[in-house]
Amino acid sequence: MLIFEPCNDRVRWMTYDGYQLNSGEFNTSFNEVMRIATKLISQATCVSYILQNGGSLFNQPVVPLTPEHLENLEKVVPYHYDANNTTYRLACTGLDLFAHIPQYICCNTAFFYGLPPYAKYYALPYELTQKGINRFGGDGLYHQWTWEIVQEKHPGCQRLISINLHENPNVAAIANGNPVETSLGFSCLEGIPSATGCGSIDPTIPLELMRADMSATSVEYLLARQSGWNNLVGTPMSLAELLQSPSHPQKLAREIILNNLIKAIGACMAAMNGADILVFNCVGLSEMLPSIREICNQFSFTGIKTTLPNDNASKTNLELNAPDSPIKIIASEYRLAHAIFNMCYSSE
Amino acid sequence: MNILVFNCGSSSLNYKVYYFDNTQIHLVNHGKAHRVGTKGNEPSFIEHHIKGSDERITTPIENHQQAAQHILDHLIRANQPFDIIGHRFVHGGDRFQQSTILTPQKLDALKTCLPLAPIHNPNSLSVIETCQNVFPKKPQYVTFDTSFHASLPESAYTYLLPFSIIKKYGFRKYGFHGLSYQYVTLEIAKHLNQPPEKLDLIVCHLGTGGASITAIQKGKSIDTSMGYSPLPGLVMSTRTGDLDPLLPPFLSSMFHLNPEQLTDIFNKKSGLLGIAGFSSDLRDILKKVEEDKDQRAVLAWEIYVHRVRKYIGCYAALLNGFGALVFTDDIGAQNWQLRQSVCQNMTWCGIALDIEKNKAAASHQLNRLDAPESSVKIFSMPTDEEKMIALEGIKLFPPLGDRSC
Repeated sequence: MLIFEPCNDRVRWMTYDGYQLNSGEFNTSFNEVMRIATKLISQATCVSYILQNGGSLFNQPVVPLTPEHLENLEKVVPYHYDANNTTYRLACTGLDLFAHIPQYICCNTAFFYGLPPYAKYYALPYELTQKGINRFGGDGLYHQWTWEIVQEKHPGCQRLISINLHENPNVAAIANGNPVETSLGFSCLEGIPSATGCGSIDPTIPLELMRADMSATSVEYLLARQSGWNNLVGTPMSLAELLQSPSHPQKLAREIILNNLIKAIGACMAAMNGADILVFNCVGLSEMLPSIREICNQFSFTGIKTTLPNDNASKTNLELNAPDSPIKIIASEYRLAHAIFNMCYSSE
Repeated sequence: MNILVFNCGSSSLNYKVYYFDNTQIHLVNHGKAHRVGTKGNEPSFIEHHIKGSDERITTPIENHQQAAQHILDHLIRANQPFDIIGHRFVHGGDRFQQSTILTPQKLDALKTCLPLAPIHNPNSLSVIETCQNVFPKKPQYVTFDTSFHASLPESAYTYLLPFSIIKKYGFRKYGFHGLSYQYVTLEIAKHLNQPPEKLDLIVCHLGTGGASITAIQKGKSIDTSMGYSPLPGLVMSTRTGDLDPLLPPFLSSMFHLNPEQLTDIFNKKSGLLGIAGFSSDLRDILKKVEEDKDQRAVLAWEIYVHRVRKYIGCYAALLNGFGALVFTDDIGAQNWQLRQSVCQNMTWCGIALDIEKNKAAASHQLNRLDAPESSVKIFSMPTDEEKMIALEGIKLFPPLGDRSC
């Protein structure tokens, strides 16, 4: 399977056959898209295009790419301009180029389409909420996948908090398979700050910047690309690297991210009167273990108890809770290609 | 010394007159203008409680300047003397970190702070100017709602924005309702007979206009729901509370709205009014929910409640558990339905409300509302920002014998 994941002005490609993962990045110029697509075409038995924000038009996580869905793709471009525009252009190219193999649109907001109204709507004028200015969430494919995987092993789990620890950390509360809360909002900018995004800030701030003669586009760029922990640290850094950094200014950025994660998990618990299982999906599992334990220990008031994994435990899936902890803690590697691969095939 | 204190809410104007006998302060008169400038089902009115007589005057009050004029006229007619006038100013930005005596220079500096709190600051200023017009010789002073949150740690007040932008504009979390949080913390400490430094509290300040919530660790604010301005956080009467930061630029491009129009929408046309459409007052909305299950009223109520619960979850986690949950200000002290909805299904963090005690709680006093199985103490109580303002006034204008400097 060939997967295209648009991210800012780049696209990540992955090929995955259920065992072997290859990946790379390219920029979104037409020539580059054609070059990569032609190069990868022989390896692909099917293609998945990740759609970062499907607005109100995509409420199924996986849909086959058809001309009619292409039309909807074009309509939702403004909801995440750069990434959605890339997905749209890739899909246009792919519809011709890969016409001989199955193709899917995998939408990262579809899972959260079912958020309860009190979590989905902002306290904006009603007309705006009716026009689709709502919380769409994000990373929905992975959160949904996490729920399904956890059910296989722990069928009694009713309240799950799924915590994705990568460059855009985010948290989702899932009760009986349904989303009830997420830290992300209308876009991936709300919630916990990311490598280059500011996270939740006072909405007066963008207004003041616009009043000071910055265009809407440059304000968007500033908040989404020039902020976040990279900016404070002064150099690009993965979340795993940041969480391991003990010195200033990394220390301040680390503390901000940890506090935001702790608060987001607390918000999820408030939405479900607690939790049965916390799952941490990590890009860099072993580096993050001490921080995960630190986060969990902040919930000792709920009775949570952590423990050290034993030495012969699996390196990709660890249970970190003590046997008498009322809440289970699972830490596993974030494997997006694996999740998408399985979700696409099970959608058939 | 007699102190007249004005406290401007976004839709109310409180006043109190205190007498300071050089050791203690005593409340002598008080009153409040209600529903100032609100769109609702019921008319505006002013209550006066002066020298043992209670009076309620129903009259249209379009803005805070009119409310202040009414109150000053009434005090003159009632022969109520006062020596100094104290005000609450919501946002002093970086220029005002503590209470200050008003001078022409300070007044000019205050005017530069108006855009920081577009609902409150202009109202407070209009009350100050009304007082100057009526009593040009009386000394006035200003207190700020941001002072209590001076204890916020760097990780709580820092926005992860480019440093050059932070420096240029002074963007940081300030937090508000500080006078109220300070008063509540002192009162709970007194009630529990513990020093404030021993208290871990979550305090919900839920007013008819503005609302916020604060995590207090060892008596000090460590996080709060409002930010650089009083816009983010909980849902308010006409303010959005939390919003995706991408929305201002997105809405501007999508619907061709300029920053002024968006500021107006987010601050004056959103919140409860935006969702429900017919009123900005939670009490009207609750009535509609109970009467006919109006869909938009139900939605407004549920979003409001959900946001309070969400923040309680955030702060319970940040504090790693807490000793007491406090509901204060008009909605917090008066509305048992709201407290019940907020406390429902919150046993995960130790909250268990005594349903009967909660219903019976009197809004003018401190009430203990937790059930025996609750590990968290639950209180409802009125706040008294005016008393905090008066105490600040005594510090700024010490009695003559004390004026050593």
